[in-house]
Amino acid sequence: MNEHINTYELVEKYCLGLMDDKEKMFFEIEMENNPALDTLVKEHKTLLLTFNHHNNKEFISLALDSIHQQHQNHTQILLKQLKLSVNKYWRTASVAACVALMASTFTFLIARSVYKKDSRAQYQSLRGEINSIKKDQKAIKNEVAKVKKNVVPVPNEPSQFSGTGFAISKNGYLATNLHVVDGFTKIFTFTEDGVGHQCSVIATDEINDLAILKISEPEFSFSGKIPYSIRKSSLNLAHRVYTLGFPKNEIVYNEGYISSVTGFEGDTNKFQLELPSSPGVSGAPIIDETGNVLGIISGKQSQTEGITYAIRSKALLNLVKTLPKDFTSNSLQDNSVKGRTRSGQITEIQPFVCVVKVYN
Amino acid sequence: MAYNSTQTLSDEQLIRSLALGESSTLTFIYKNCYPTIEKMVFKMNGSLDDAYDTFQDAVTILYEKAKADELHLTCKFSTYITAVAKHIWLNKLTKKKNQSFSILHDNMEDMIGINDDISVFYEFENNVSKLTNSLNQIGEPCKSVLTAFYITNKSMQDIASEFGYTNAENAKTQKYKCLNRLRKLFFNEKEVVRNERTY
Repeated sequence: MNEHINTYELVEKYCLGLMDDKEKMFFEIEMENNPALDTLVKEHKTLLLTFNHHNNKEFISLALDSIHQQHQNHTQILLKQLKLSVNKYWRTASVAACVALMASTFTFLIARSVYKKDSRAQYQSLRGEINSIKKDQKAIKNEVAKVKKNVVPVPNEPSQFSGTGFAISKNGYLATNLHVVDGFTKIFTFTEDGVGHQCSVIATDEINDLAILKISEPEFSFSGKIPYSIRKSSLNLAHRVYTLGFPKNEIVYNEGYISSVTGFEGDTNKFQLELPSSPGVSGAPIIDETGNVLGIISGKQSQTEGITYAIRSKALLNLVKTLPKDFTSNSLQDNSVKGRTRSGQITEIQPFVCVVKVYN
Repeated sequence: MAYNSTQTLSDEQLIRSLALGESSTLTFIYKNCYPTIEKMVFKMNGSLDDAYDTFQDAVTILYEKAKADELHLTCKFSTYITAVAKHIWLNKLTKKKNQSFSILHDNMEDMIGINDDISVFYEFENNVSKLTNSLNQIGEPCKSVLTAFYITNKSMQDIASEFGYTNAENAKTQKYKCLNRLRKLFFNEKEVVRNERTY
């Protein structure tokens, strides 16, 4: 046993490199001669290396574990701090967010309502302005009407009948149908500006259903020269004509053609038109393409739609001759719209065609 | 602490201090190399624990090589340790999943001879598990005596007083008797009972 132990001691000494050169040499020679010793040395070496490796591994493992642990802890601390700070400021942050949200919402709502109010106020003020302008205008009109002598205000009640009249002189002579004004004394004519003027009947032609009115205001004058002419001219079938009348409060344009040169049941003072008409257009002028008044609408056939009868302008011209001296018939020969387009003609003629209303 | 992570350390200095097992060096290596390896292993189907184990094995290999003065780098230290870790992890994956993961044979890595290092390492690992098993079978007081001498590196004098031997000579006799038994157990073991950790 002791031998064994001595051998082991030598083997370990050799393996750890603790032998001096001489000792080592002797030992190596013995190893060559003794295979059992050689094996023992090799095995011992392996054992020592394994122990060594085990120790190294333990060493590295311990050292790294502590570093790893520290690092992990550090990370966790950082995370905790982050969480803490989040927890710490969570309330403040949420309150701040709420306040910001509410503030922006309120601002939005207030801004919206203010904007709405503003536009409404503007709108209202605009309306107010319009109203005030209207009032001003009415006041001015009334003032003007008062200034004018012998002005009779338009009755407030609704009119009994209404028809159409057209100017035949600048100073207020109008032609219309007798049936429009017959039997009434309160006759008013409304010029384009909407102002009513009282009229009186100057001349009538019962056979031809014609009447000539005169606006009573002595200073009354139309805005310009009468653009159309009134002339006796031969009527041709299919002659294109148009008319301007007041079947309602606004002026209405209509067009058609001459369908017969005689009127109802062969009446030679009248002629027949293919032109739609409705109540209120009585007294409207029939104008041809060159701006010449051919006649005055007087009625229509009740059974058929679209057939209208008109009085020839010859009868009107005959009646005009009976008018007083302040009427100048010269202007009836002149025509200033001859070369104009249809709409141009109408723009010119429009101011001279008026509503005629009669009141009880 | 001699170095901190922000200071750059030349690779030669690093290897020298690694051989001495300085903890500042290990910290330096951990801080500079571990994040890369962790990411790499994590990307290659590994858990964070896998990454740490791999890193530890790689450091052990380099430490032993440095200690034996066998660590001669042809590339940067960080590149080398990452390559070693990669090979270790791929080997582990292959064995773990029994899949044929072929070990990468980059020119650079072959030149360095990483695979040889790793196979030596595995042999040692195998031996360590054998040794542990043998030590467990040897019984007391042999296990304690051998552990005290070879692992805790205690002197025979200390061992004698600790284990109640009359003198160091007696302790030495006991140690050699135990060593003989360990040797027999270690080398006669045909089938190594594998440790839980498989490599």
